[in-house]
Amino acid sequence: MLFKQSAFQHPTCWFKIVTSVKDKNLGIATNDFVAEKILERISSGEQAAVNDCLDQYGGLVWSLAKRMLPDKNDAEDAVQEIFIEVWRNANRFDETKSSETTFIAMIARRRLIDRLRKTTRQPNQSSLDEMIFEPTGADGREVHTSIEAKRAAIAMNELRPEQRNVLQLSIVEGYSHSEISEVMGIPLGTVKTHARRGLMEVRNALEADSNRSGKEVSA
Amino acid sequence: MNEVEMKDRLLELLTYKAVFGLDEEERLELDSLQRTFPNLVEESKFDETAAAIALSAVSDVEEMPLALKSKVIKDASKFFAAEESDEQLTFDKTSRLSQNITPAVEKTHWSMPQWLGWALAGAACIALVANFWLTQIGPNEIASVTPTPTVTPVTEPSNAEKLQKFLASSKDLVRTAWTDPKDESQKLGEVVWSDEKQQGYMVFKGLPANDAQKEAYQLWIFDETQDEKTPVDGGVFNIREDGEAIIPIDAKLKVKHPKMFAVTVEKPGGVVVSKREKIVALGKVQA
Repeated sequence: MLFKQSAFQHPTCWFKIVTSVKDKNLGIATNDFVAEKILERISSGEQAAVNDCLDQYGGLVWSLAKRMLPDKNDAEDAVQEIFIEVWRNANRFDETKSSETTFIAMIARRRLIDRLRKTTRQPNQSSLDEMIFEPTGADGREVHTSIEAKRAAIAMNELRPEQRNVLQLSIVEGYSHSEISEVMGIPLGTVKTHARRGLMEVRNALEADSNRSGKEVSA
Repeated sequence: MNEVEMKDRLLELLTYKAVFGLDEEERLELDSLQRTFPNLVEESKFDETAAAIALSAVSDVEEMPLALKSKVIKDASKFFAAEESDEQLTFDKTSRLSQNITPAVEKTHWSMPQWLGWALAGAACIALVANFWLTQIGPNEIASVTPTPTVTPVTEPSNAEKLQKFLASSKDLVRTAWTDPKDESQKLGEVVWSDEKQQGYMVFKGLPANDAQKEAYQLWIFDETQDEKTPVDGGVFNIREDGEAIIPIDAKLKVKHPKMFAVTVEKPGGVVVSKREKIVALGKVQA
């Protein structure tokens, strides 16, 4: 079962996911269960899996790159680098620790953060012609996401608004801590504190959920 | 720093690494702390959490451009070819090594006719293998190494169509006219917003086209719950032609109850905080 885009309307997706997830009985099925094993096939040298990997995760990586690197050429270069890293690290994927989607997003983020730190970031820019002519996510298109993402959405919704905003601006939009300090009008140290506490809370929630479902499965 | 402080700093750096990335100095500090406390915490947990948050906010998965997909496939072919040759190299080295450590029980000295015979046989084998590869294996292998991308082009609805759909499906619309701040009787279009959907559109009629190389328009949303000094960035956009333009709002933070929308002129790419030196359109929401 795939999650419909309507359940993920950014930036309120955290609220919307809560209802969707409850309705769908969280954790029963995600597209990860359909797609898993692509990285295993890649690490075993099966080159046909490259195409499957791009079909499954190409759009996701491209969307993450475009969100954080508004310069299109920069985003394209980043995507090429990210997939080289994916091929290189495919054998390190451990399905007991995360889903393929999260693993690939993690590799993507590391690379994107490196790029962001090397360049002076400009806020996300959408030119009119890009909005009109470029193929963006059509209504109803299914979003490839992971069970961790759904859990993270719920956990984000539980955070204090300041913590949520800091994580939203940094992780999703790619703002630096000093930019967030400017945008939110709060001291740099407070930004860091919110980031740290917020991330730890989400992490704890993910682990608690994971342990709970582990117990449910074994029960 | 005592041990507790050092451990705390390690966790702090892992968090910053996952959220913001580290500079060189911080990276060195993290390396050193990780060497001191190698098993304190699993580093990837922080990165995974940040990745899950990033994924949770992906609302639109945009198709990867075909040209980019082809490049990635080409990169993959090169990557796997290099991997294969590395493996081959390792294998050759191992073979040579094993040859070296094999005791030379029989060391034969070939005569010229013997050497020629073996050389001819070797050449014939190479020719046979090459022929077999080219006619039987080669083309298939090449095809599998460089698969043809199979991305089906998607027809994207226009912004006008999206706006129509949005208007028809939103029950909590906030709708207000754009006015020229210098002359409030001068209407410049309208702005519509839905708190529930966290989506909205700007419709401009008569906002002049901007030179995207020199400047950009940027939307700011003043929310009841947000300090007036720090309105929510609603996205940067360009107007390419005078006339009507429909532009989706790209709010960077959640908007709860917008009370005013403002468009400023900023440098290309926009700014994080506007000095509000050039405000070109205002949309005040009636209470």
